[in-house]
Amino acid sequence: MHGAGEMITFIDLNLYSIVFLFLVGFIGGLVSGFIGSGGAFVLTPGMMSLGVPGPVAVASNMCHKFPKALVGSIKRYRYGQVDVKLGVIMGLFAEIGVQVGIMVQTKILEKWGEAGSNLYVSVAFVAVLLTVGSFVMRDALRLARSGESDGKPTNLCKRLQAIELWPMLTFKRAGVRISLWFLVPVAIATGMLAATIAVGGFIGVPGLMYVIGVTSIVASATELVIAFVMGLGGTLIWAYYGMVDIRLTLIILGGSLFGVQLGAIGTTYVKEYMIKMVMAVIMLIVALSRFLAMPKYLDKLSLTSFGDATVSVLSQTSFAVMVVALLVGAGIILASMFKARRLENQA
Amino acid sequence: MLDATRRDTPETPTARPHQVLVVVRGASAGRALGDYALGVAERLGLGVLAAYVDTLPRYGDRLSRRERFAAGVAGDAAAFGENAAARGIGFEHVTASGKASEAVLAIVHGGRRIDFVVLDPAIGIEEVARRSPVPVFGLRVADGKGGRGRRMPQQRNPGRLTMSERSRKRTLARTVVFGAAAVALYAAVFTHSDFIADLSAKGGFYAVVPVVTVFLFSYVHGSFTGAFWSALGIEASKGATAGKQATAGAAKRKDGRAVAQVNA
Repeated sequence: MHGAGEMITFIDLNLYSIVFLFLVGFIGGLVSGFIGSGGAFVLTPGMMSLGVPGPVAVASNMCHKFPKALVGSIKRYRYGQVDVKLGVIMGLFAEIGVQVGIMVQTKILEKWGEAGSNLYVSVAFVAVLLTVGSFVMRDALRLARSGESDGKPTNLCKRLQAIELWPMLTFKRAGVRISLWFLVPVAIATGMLAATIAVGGFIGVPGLMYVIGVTSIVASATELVIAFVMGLGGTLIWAYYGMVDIRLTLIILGGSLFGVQLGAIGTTYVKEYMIKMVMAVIMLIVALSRFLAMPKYLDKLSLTSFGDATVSVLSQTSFAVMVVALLVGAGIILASMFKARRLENQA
Repeated sequence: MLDATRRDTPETPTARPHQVLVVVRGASAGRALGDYALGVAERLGLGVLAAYVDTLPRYGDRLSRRERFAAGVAGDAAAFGENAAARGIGFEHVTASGKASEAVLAIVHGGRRIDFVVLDPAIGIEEVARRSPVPVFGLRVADGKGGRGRRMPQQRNPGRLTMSERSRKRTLARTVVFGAAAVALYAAVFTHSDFIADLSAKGGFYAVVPVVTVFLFSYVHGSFTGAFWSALGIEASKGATAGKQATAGAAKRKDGRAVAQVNA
């Protein structure tokens, strides 16, 4: 075994965990087919709640993510929603971010062990999901009230697009011309987040929408290409350290490929702000869930003393809240999709 | 890649009639496509221009393929033309090879007056709709309805499979075949789960084991799930995809149609 793999143990599988992973995979796939990423933010905590160590959860997750992203992006490419050039360029730079993220992660695992690593993952979750999630939610609510299908580019995008800094890149499908220098930071941040919590899309998609100026439908579709490119690279590294539990990966993949196809189909029916809405709702609920799970790791590191009883109540609540996040997200997607289908069939 | 095998072509652009462009994949227009195109042309008082597109010109023995294609087109176009003549509709045909979207562009920009395009169901509408300067209509056969709500003449060909039945059968067959393959793969891995898990946990060069495994699974299982939803009748919104593409490129499009010149 290599490096950190020696500290890691794979869990035993039983019927409950298989069914659980399959279902979470399906719903995660549904969400990521719809908003471009986001299976993982549900799956990483989902696996961790089954007792899978953080790094193995992230690694197995990433290993299921890139084939799923591939299947999803091919599907959405057929609907004309993907800017391949943007996705590949972003993906390659995100790869750099992934490397940095993995280095940080392995350092933390060496220094503080599994509990420290789990705490770090949870903190990253809460911080990113809260800030970005509330921003996206505000935008989605504004769009829903004003009745527009999608927002105009923000002032930030307009200003950045106006700056002529070599090399300028033109993205036809996305309808954007912008300097490479503004793509790179978004891409690297996406990669770093992806390596940490296996879901870069929570920076990638809002970054594409609010910094680069791409519509939410193209942003979420293009994110799948980014996820594929960096997922493949990231998986190879994680697999090099022997952290991929292929059994977990395949069970999740079994469910998520059903979901990702359905989610991609769903994007062709709904108004564009629905993508932002679903994204924000799920992000905020999952942030709450991970926040409730933090005392467990804090206690393990002897940083706090909440006591076992409190910790177990909080852990169970955290789990329940995560299930709610899953069901709410999937419910919104399926309900709005089938409503739109019914309207279309009537017309 | 438009071949110059035109029939009855009027000489000057101003004399050309307004036409519906019917794009046919291969050398034979489906009955549904032909009927639909003629019906629309009749209602709107337009002529019909059938473009037979050989989408795989480099496939197999090119020479014999070309001959067969030409012979097939000649026969089919003659029948199509007769049907058109019977209903008093002007008919022409051309052949082309390569991508349908390119052929449509070439024809529409070629000085003809194409009012809109009707596509063979065998051609993907997305790309054509995105690139075409005139509206593109697909013919939906999956649910047995003609485009624009016309019913297909399913009963006119007793004993023969209609397009919708054939495509549904194909989807079902795909679902079953890929489904069985996916089940077999999963069974194979999980009966040897310890061996494969250990192999992928070894790290180092064994890193390719999980990657190759998931690629294989994503192809087989991904094809299965895709076919599965299609078999259940859950497919993308046709209107939404075509519509979105139509608006996406709308600003840049030029009207490539011939313009009437009035000499007063």
